[in-house]
Parts: sequence; structure tokens; C-alpha cells
Amino acid sequence: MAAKVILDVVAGPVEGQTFAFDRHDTFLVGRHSNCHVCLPRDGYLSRHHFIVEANPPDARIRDLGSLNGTHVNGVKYGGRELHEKPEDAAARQYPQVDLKHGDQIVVGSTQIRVSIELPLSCCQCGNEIPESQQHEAEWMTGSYLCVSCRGTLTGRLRPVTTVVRPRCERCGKDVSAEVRNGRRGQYVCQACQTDLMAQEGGLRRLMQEAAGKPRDPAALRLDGYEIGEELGKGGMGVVYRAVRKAGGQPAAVKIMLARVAVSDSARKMFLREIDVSRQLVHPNIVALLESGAAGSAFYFVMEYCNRGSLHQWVNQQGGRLPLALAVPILMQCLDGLEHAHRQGFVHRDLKPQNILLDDRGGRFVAKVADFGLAKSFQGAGLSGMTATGGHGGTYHFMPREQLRDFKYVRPASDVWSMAAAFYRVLTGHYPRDFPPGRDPMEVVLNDEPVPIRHRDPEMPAAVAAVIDGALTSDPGKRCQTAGDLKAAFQQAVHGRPP
Amino acid sequence: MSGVFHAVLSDRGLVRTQNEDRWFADPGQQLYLVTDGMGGHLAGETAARAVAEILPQRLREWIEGCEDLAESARIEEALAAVSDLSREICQHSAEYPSLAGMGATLVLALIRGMQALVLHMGDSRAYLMRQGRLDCLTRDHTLVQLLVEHGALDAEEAAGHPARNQLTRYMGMADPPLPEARVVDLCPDDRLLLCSDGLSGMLDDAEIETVLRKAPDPQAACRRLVDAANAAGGKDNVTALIVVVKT
Repeated sequence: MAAKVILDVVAGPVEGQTFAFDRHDTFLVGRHSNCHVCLPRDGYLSRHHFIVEANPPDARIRDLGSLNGTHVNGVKYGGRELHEKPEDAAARQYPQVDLKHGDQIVVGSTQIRVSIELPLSCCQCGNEIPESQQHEAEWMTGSYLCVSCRGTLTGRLRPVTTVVRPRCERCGKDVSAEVRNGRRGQYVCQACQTDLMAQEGGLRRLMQEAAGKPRDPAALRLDGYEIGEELGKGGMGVVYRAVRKAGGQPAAVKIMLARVAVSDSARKMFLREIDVSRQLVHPNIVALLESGAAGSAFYFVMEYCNRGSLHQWVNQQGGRLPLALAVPILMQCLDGLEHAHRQGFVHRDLKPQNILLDDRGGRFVAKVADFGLAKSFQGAGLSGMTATGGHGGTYHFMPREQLRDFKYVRPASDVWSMAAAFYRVLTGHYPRDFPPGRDPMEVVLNDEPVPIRHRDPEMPAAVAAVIDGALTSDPGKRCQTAGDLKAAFQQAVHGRPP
Repeated sequence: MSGVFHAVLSDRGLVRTQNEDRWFADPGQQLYLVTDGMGGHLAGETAARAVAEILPQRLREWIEGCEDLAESARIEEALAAVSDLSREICQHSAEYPSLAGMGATLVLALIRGMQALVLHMGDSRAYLMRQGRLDCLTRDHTLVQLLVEHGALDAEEAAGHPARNQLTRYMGMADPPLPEARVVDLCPDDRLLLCSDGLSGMLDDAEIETVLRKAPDPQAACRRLVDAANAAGGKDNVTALIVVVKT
């Protein structure tokens, strides 16, 4: 039996997969299709996140300049700053970490357990001891004698009666039966490993007992549509790719689950509001095709945009866009937003995740999605008790007045959010700093945005003035509509009025 | 023999059909907690169970080694355990459709000698009743509380604000959790009250103080508090856990 390095995926989207190496090989994990574990939809992972080099019985892991780092037994290795390119971070000398039996690798929700299997070999002659002889081959702690060498040595040597046996680091039990020949370092016995995993598993068992099986995309049904893969998820819902059965047109279906029991009146109120937004028809607004509800689940069938969100695209480009690429996208978004403002609509939740991109028909088109969806959901009391409606990170693009005054619903708030979205796209930073340990709500209430040229001194002064002006905390002192902001940008970028 | 004992009462209230409050009390370890689930019936109940059942297990080893509550490194470890569980609840919320959006508040008290460590996230509260006077030991992690602290709202506006129940921090939140901790010195005959907002939302502090002053026996006090909350409307599940420190 040859030595083996075995990597078991014990949690995550590809849980249950096992990769075994009995010769020198590498193992790559990331979002790219050339990875051995390829998780294209896992936003935590970088394109090439980490690599394991297996040379049984040895193995080592190296982070490849990922954004979020790689955790081994709870210790983080690697990771890079938002503004750094992957190749810059990868060029840095991140340590290679030797892996041992029982180690746990964690990236996002994916957990991988390392097992190293060793053949037993004779400590005298070095030959591998066949499995049929292993039970009688133990000689002294951690060492084994084959039958042939035992016969030669017997009479000249006697086993030492007082031996130092390997012990579990956690409970102190003798683990010589578990530890293989040649293994060095700390070791936790199987019982303690099981106990530790049980502690982690207690929560999972509770969840499974409560909710049954995890989400199964194949179980989703919507009349008239074939539901496909998950395109993304946010604080309130999940978006799936779909195909209309009649005609074969692609679509995107967003499913939102209410977090409270839904009364008929709440359901009707919310759907009525959403239905009104179907009046918004513009090439730079994602069209809402259908909507409905079943119990506490709401669905929205929308126009499909094949390049995903601006957030995703910017991440693929390294975390920020040059001005020349960002400006056309911004102008298209402002066109769509201006149309909505003229119709009396306010978005209230603008962010790069809600700007979708499509390049069919030979043109790169930006479209604003989810007009009023989140806030209407919240306003109908369907989002439960959370201040941000459970949105992860929505406060990054939230103007102060939206937090201070729930009733404040004016286009000027969209101006702030759109400027914040493009501040992020252009610099890789949010307008406000959110240091760890500080309540983000307090940051929104107290802190002023950082002038954009502090993030990027190369930003043209005229453009910076428009963005900084749109991020003024006093809503009365900034552009009042998307049309005003568009005009200001055109003046700044092209030096001429629209 | 320990000079600490407790009483607790949890009630569905008059409006809700289920009780999504949970509590935990371990007199041996002198660990007490109250949690209020949210996010729809199944989700709320599951989140509250996760806090009440899993968190004490996670803290067991830490508690056994914890003699000096004021040691900052020890407090950080406890906060980290709370944050870790919050993140895991959030992950499970994403994985199970029927548990989407689940969350729960937490208020926890650990007593060592004549000190108490109070940890919390959300709007479940901890109070200290000493010599007839009630002090609130926690600040609500709600949007309205934040606006009041920043002078954007006064108390009257806060009471009627549409967002008065909206939490800014809770177990299972999508954003990085920020539990708060404080260490309180105790005196003999002090009483700690841990409660869900089903109590503090129905009775103001003066009313709670009056009940506690008139009912020194913790079991009787819990009964009277719950009855008073229901008499005031009983709009939410209500849980009152009282810990009495004698020596």
C-alpha cells in the first residue's frame, strides 16, 4: 500500500467529494473552471484561491494571493487588500504551510479535511509490511518489525518494557494504536476528533431537525418556466436563471421569502406596489415581467442580463474600473434612473449589486434592477425586525437621511446612492470607512464620506467635484435628481453641457 | 452552598400564537440567558433554540476556566464565541429556505463571586435591582435607540417611531456581529432581571421597578411581571428571568 494524501470535502457546495493522491500532484481550488474544486458562484473564493501540493506522505498548502485568505486549523494565511491585484498579492512570499493528518482547511463555506495514510514499513529493513502481518508487527512504540527481521533479532534484542507512548493532545489517552509509523507532531485521538466535530455538528443537527433538507434547486417549480442554476443571492432573496417554456426566452427569477407570517392584506399590498413598477419601461431599467406569491414566498420574473451584476463584473476586473470604462455604465444607469424619477419612482436601494449588465445585440448595456423592491418588502412588514431588512452591506450605499427619517423618500437619496456605487466602482473603496468593531449604523450617522481624491489622487478634479458633491450629507445641497447628476457628469467628463 | 438562585417565567402573551422566546439557566455554572427569536415562526423558534441550546455548550469550557470576569482577554473569548455562533446561524439561514432570515436576540449573565458579566445583542435587556432602585444594564440594539443617542429623535418620537422594533444587531445577522459586554460589581441582595422585549415593550422601567420592589420573592416577581405585561396588552411573547445574589 502506498502512502496517500486524501482531501475530503466535509462541508460546502461540493460536500462529499474526495480527492486522493498517491503520487506527487497538485490540487487547485477557486472559481476558475481549471480548478480541481471549481466553485464559480462562491463569492468568497478568488479565481485561483489556494493550491495543495501533495507528495505523499507529505503535503503543503499555499494561498495564491486570494482576497479573503485561506484558513488552516483556524489560522488565516494569505489574503490581500481590496485595491491589490491578485498577481501583486501572489508575488508576495506567503508561507507554505505543511499539512498533517487531521488538519482542516476552510475557505468560505467549504471545509476540507486532510488525511494522510502511511504504509507500515519495517524499522530494520525498510520493507513495507503486508497488511496480513500488520497486526503482529508492532515492536516498539511507533515502530514495526517485519516477520523476517523479528526472527533475526529475537534472542539478541528484547522489547523495552518501559516505553513512551504517543498521547492525545486533548485527553492524554494512549494513541499508539492510531498513530502510524513515522508520524510526528501533535495528534488528537479519534474520539476527541469525533467529540470536537460533534460540537460543531450540534448546530447543524438542530437546523436539519427543524428544517429538513437544505435547499434543493431541482425542487423549485414555477408554471411556465424551467428553473436553472442560482445566479446570486442577497439579503432578501435568491435569483435563478430560467427559461420561458413558451418561446424559450431566457429570464431571471427572484424568490423572496417573507420573514413573518404573511397576511392576505400584506401580500396584496406588496404585490400591488410591485405591479405599479411594471410601468417602468426603459432600455436601462431591468423589466419586470411577472410577479406573484405562494404562501410566504414571492417570485419576480425579470429580464435576464447575461453579464451579471456590476458588482460581479468589477470584482472580475480586479476590484475597480478605470474612468473610461465606468463613465458609459454610469451614464446609462443615470438615464434609467432619470426616467424613473420623472415617473415619480424612487429606487431606495441602489448599489452595484442592483446594476445588471447585458452584452447581447453587440452592445454593452447597463440596467438598474429591483426598483423599490427591497423597501416595499420592508414597508409591507415582510422583512421582519432588522434595520436593514437583513441586507448584508446595504448601509455602504445608504445616505444618512434614509436612516434618520424613514419617511424620506426622494430622488436626492438615489443620487447619493448612485454616486456611492460609482465611488466604489472607481476606487474599490466605500465612501465611508467602516472599521471592524464599529457599529456601521453609527458610521452612517456620524461620519462624512472621504473625498474621492484621497482614495485616488489621479481622479480628474472636475469628476471628483461632481462625485463628492453628490455625496454631501445634506440632501438639499446635492443634485436633486438623476438628470441633474447626469448633466453634471457630462459637463465634468466632456467639458460641455448635454 | 451557592448564594445565587433564580426563577423564570416565559409566556406566549395574548396576541402571538407561538412562543419564540427561549431561556437557559444553569445554577451550577451560574449562567443565565434569555433569547427572543425572529424571522417567521419556524425560523424564529429555531434561532432561539440555537442560542439557548448551543451557546451554553460552546461556553462550557470557557466558563470552567473563568474566575476573573474582569480579565479582558477572557471577555474577548466569550464575545468571539457569541460572534462565531451568530455567523453560523447566518450561514444556516442561507442554506435552508424555511429558515431564511432567522435571527434571535441574546442577553446573558454569568456570575462569579460578586461580579456579573453581561453579554447582549438585540433588544432583550438586563436590569439590576439594588435597594429598591432599577437600572438598565444594556442599551437596545435598535435603530430607534441609535437615533435617540445621536439626538435625531427624542423619547416621545421614539415611542411612536415606525422603526421602533427594528434591530441593528442580533444573532444571525448578515453583517459582522458586534455583541456587547460589561462587568458589573454585585452587592448582597442584588437582583438581576433578564427579559425579552415582550416585557420591556409593554412596561416602562418605573412599572418594572414597582413590581420588583413589591415582590421580593423572584418567583412571585416573575409571575407579576408577566401578568402586568399581559394586562398592558400582551402583544409579544414575554420572558422574565430573575437571579438573586445573596452572598
